[in-house]
Amino acid sequence: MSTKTQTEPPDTPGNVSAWTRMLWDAEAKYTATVGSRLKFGLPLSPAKPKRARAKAGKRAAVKV
Amino acid sequence: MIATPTIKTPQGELAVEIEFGRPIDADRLRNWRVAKGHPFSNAMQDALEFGKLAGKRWRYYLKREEAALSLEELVRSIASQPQAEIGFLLVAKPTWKPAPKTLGIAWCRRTWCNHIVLDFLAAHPSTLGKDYAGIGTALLYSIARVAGRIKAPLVWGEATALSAPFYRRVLDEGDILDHFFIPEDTLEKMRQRLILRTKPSKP
Repeated sequence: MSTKTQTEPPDTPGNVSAWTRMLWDAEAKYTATVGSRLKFGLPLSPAKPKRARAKAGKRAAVKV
Repeated sequence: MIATPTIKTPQGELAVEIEFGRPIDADRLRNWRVAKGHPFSNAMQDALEFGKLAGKRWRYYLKREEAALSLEELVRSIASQPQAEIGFLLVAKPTWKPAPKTLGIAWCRRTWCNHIVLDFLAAHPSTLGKDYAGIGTALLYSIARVAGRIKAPLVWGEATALSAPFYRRVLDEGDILDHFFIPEDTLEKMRQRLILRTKPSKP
């Protein structure tokens, strides 16, 4: 036999538990953000600007 | 979709859909912006930066085929490689319009010993300071749902200076600083707040 007891029904719009509401208030005040600024796999030097691409007409002219 | 927790929005209390992230979600994270004239607080800066870093890390795991795109895929990967590290992105999506397409994200890793590391959790910057509340809570409840499905007994993560007080409330512990551990009993309490869905994720 399961010993799991559910004291309150799940949260639904208009019927949210006091615990969830308390967490909402805390989240609105402090945020729930998680993370660190460890730069994962970022290049050590900033990316070089890309060279402008010549127009199609000019490229064709060089080929000839 | 793995859960439909309720959040507070400017339109009232509404359900959000929590899904496993897909490649298009990483592109959406790159486009997170803050509207002009909005006060650019530290919280928004954190959300913008962590959202982008989460997307970057997720793409890296995806390329190495170490990311799960659904709960079923995560379960299958663990069954075939019990000590594998597998990453997954949870995405909170609105069920109403107008709203940002991605309300919040959580980037997690299932570790070799079957714990879940919550590397990044962020709500869309434009929801901060507005009448939104509970996006992070909804994502935490959904992580608890994933933890239950894969029988992970612990979720841990790194709190920021701003969010540490929130995790003190979640865990009812006054001494939380830059790290927190969500144990099985709290995960179970979170799961009980959710209506469990049986609809499988998209293939």
